[in-house]
Amino acid sequence: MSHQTKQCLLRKAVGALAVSGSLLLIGDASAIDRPVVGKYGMIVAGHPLAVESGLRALRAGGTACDAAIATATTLSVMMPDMMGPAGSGFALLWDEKKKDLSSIDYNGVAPKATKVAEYTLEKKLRGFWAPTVPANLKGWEAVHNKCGKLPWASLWADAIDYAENGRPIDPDSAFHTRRHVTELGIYESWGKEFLINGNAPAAGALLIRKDLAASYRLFAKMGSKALYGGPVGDKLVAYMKKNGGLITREDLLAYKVIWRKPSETTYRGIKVYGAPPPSASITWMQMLNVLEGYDLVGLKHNSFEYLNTMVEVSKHAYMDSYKYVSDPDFVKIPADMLLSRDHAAAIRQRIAQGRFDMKTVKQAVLDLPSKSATSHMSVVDRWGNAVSMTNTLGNFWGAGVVVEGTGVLLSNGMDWFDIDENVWTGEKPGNLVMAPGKRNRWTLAPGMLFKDGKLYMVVGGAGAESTMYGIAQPIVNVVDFGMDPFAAVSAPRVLWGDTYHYTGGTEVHLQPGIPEDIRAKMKAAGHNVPDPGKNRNLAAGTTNMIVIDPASRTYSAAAARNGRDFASGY
Amino acid sequence: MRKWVSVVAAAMCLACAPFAASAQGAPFKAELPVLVTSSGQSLDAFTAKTLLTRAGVANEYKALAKVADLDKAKTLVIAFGASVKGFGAAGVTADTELARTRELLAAARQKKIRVIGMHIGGAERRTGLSKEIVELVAPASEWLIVWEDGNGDGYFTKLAAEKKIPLSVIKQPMESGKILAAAFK
Repeated sequence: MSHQTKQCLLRKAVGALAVSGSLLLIGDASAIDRPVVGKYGMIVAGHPLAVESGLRALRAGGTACDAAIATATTLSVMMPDMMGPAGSGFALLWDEKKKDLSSIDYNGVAPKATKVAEYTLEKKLRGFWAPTVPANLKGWEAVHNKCGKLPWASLWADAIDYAENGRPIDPDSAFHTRRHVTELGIYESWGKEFLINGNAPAAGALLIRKDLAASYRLFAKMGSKALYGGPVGDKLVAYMKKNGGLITREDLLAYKVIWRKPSETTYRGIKVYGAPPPSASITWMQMLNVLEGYDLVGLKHNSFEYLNTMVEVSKHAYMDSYKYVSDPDFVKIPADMLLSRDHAAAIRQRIAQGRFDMKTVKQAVLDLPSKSATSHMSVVDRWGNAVSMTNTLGNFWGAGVVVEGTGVLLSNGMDWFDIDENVWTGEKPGNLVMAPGKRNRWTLAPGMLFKDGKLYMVVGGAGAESTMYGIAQPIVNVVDFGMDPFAAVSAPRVLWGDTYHYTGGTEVHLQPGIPEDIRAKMKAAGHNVPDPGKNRNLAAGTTNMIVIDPASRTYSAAAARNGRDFASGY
Repeated sequence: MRKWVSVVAAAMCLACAPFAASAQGAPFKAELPVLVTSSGQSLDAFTAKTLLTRAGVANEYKALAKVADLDKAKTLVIAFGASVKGFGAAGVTADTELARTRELLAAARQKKIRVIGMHIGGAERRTGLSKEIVELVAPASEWLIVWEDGNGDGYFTKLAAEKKIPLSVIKQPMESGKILAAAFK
């Protein structure tokens, strides 16, 4: 087939998708303040246009996997501070027909030239040493190869259009651009890509990204080869070389996604699955494991006893996470032990004895309004297939470095490694220390729950370390307290610790809505509870979920109010 | 030198109120060596260091500079305003950061080192802990370079007028490098 014929077919496919989407989207159920219900498809993701792209794919006969990729590609244009093709991710994929659950790790790796001794805090946070090897594009392609039906190129159509012609910037993106101008303006390529005449664009402004559109056309046409050994990758390597960066052509060619066996446990008879380490799903799963030993309904939701229990359980689950979770190719992770009933019982015993063995961590201070720095999507299609996918660039705007001439923003995956002490365990080096070829521990933590062998819930979230609190508590809200998805993700939560693993912190954050008398009791019990508005950890886990009704098999979905996610289905 | 500064300051006083330094020019000639530090551990200081370096002004950058680091310095640039991440990553607390800043400012005063305060992180670096840091560093500065985004309430304008501190309000954070570098040339 000639190139021109392919292009023609692509244009027709794009046109068909656009028309069918625009016609059929009428009648979609969408909401941000109540559960959204649907029968044929449901998507919760970080931007309405991304959700719409996913729904278009579903309407066109695509699977949940197709919808996830279409959602992701548009999201990478409309929510560029959070995720993109050069970032990292994890996903759980459920194939209803085959009754098969798979887990993919497309986490970027540290470049081969990584030398931990030469890193500083600044170098791992932003700039040319901050990126891990790009991974998302390869991961998305692998997902599509496994369970997609629509043409790969069609899943890029909306994203190309939005990059080429622009779409109004939403208030969140405008806010996060403005507040990073000082920090990232020193990187010329970032300013050129995301600022307009040197200024942060206001909400509603059109951001035209021609270079990105050109790169996406290559991704649509060539697949991941465009980046891994192809023309976009060549530009990346040249840009790295020119600026003293570490990623080489060899790094790109060596990068591989990893299919891993999902982590598994049960909670009150419900099968619970997560992405295995270096994903942090195991942490919220461990919380559930321990919580199962308590009569939470008897304690009453968000009572002092309930919140106190939640905090103590969290401490132990997070302690294990900081101590053990890492790249299993570099660190032996006792995953079976961590999710064992014996370990859960031992933790409950230690809690009953008032024991907490983690060393006293350094106090950190938080001053920034922090929202999610990652984006999770939950997707279910008409056949009951599902995707729970979390993508990230690391911190807001990743490395702050856009590959010259491509529009592609690189991640700052290196920042999530330690370069010195693990502040929680005191180990030097600890399990999280950076090394060439290593994958870092992310707080990306997708999940799926199954009741009586049938898909029951698709769940995930964002918000750095608050992610796992934000997943565990809403699951409890649904399973133990019978809340609908919106009530479950919106109910006030308690968090302990800090936003970042390497900053330490022992504050207890009680979200607004938890009464003052409960707050006073938590303080009296010895918890470090700052006054309202004074806590460091303002991230609270921007959870989203889809619950499948066991009887009717219809879908009910919601996104937490505190995030940027949006639910829509039909 | 001092006389020259006084003349400039007086001229500026006559020319405009409050004490607004020209966006292009500095109110005094800054001397090398210059030490760039942070109060609040945001990356704003790293931005200042980067911009100075690019403008050809050799500088020493120490985010957690201590009094001893002032030994060779004749100018101290402090980028102030708190950052969650910087604080934690640096392993410091609000109390230690405020104490370090106080000591640094006191030592600079004693050693007659010129202090240039840079508030280029915008409105985000005005609230919470930043408030304490701003109220500590801004009045102790001999020249303030401020991104207008952080001066929406006119705080720096008012402070500059009251304390007679030259103030350069910039429209974009990246402009800070140019006018700061000009002070050393």
